[in-house]
Amino acid sequence: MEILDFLRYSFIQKAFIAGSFTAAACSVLGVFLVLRKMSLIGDGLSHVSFGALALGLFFGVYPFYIAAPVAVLGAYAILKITEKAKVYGDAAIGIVSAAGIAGGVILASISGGFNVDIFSYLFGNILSVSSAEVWLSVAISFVILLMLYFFYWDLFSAAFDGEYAATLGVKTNFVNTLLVCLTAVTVVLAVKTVGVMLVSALLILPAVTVLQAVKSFKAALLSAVIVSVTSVILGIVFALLFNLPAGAAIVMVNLLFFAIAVLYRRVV
Amino acid sequence: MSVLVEAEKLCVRYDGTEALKDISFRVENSDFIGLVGPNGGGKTTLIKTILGLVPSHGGSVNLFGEIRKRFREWQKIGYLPQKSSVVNPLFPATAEEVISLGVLPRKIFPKKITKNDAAYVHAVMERLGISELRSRMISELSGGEQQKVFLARALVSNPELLILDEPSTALDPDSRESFFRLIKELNKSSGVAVILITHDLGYVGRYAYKLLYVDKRVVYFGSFSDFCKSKEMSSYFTDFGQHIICHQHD
Repeated sequence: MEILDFLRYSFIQKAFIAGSFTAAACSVLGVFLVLRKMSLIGDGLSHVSFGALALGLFFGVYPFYIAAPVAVLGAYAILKITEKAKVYGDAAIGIVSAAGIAGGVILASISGGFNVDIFSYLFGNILSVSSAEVWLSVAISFVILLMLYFFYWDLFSAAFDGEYAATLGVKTNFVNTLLVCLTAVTVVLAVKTVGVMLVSALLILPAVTVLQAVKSFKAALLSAVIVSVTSVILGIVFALLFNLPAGAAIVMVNLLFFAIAVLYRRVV
Repeated sequence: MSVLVEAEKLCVRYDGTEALKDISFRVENSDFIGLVGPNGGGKTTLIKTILGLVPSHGGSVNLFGEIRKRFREWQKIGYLPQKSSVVNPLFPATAEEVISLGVLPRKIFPKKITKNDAAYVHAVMERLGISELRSRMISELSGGEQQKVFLARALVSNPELLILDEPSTALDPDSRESFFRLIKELNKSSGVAVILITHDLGYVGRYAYKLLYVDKRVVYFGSFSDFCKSKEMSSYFTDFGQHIICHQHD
């Protein structure tokens, strides 16, 4: 079957749209997270969203409505644990991440199993996104675009040197909270695309790929979006053509771009 | 004479250990203060406390007549932090983007860098002789070039007070001389007050009029000439130590 024939199916159209917008959102956030050495927050929050999705299923509520606020709380907890307790950021991510997974497994156990297979969220399924999830991915991308428009210089200064940013009058606590909360909501959406196990790849790989080659911050943001969206489109195409799991195919294309970027840096 | 910084009985503790105790001093406009002291004596901690980056456990700080917590006019202060704490080798920022950050304190929500701001950034770069670095990545610059970029960032808001934390560590002797000549000129011609943090006692006297010697407490705060005449300081530093600090003072 030709790839254009696939495009006649609405579930494939939805996959391309939701995947592209989610990837764009993840890549922009990823540039900030990688540069701030907070890359693994995506991993931690995806584990939290696993627990939260289980909570949603447990109470019979549309999982996103529970997962999004719980993931935001998880993100806030990571910030507060780092700030208030004598714990480094990576350890705080580990604590919240473990709590998310443990909570999810316990809920799955005491419910005696869900109608929806909670473990399908571990690897995601972009080909089964609903219309609501398509709209959510467009909405979150729009919110992130607004965030960039209104807070570009605050985010840039806080990422470059958080301490110095405070002496420029930048409200660094607010900027940090905004960044991790948007990351939390985006991660919940991305879990549907590539699954809990691979979501951090959507945040990290486009960013580390473009950081091999770009020469300015604006170029980093723009090229991360291009790399990420291209990876999702090619990943879905390969998945359809070769009957592969779409999430894993997307991650492998991202990895290929990263390898090319590393080679480019070594050669140039 | 207006008071730019007024610290009163400032105390800072880290995990119960006293880092600074009862620090009182004031900075007036056109002052050029050398903030010196031994390693671990609290020089950087003092500056960070003044800027609100480190919490104090007692005493007060006023900036330009405002209690520090209420102070919002950050464009009045240009800060050059210690170099080692700033540069992330992966960060893809150009020198121009970094210098543009200095414009932010003058901006209100939503903060945008206008063409006029960009023109002023270019003018400051030209003044410091770093126009050719404009599109270069900050991480690709030498230590001395980075330092000039950070100085440009501190100057781009037209500050009334310039705080320089060990600015000469990455500079070769020639660059160091021209760097300090520029600071001295800013101080003389534009009346910009300067706090220069250094552990180089022999050097500070060539530029600063006043000396603030901190070793967890204020050992000395006053003019250089008084310091050099002080018998109390002579017994604290020994005659030789006092001579080392004083002999290069013009």
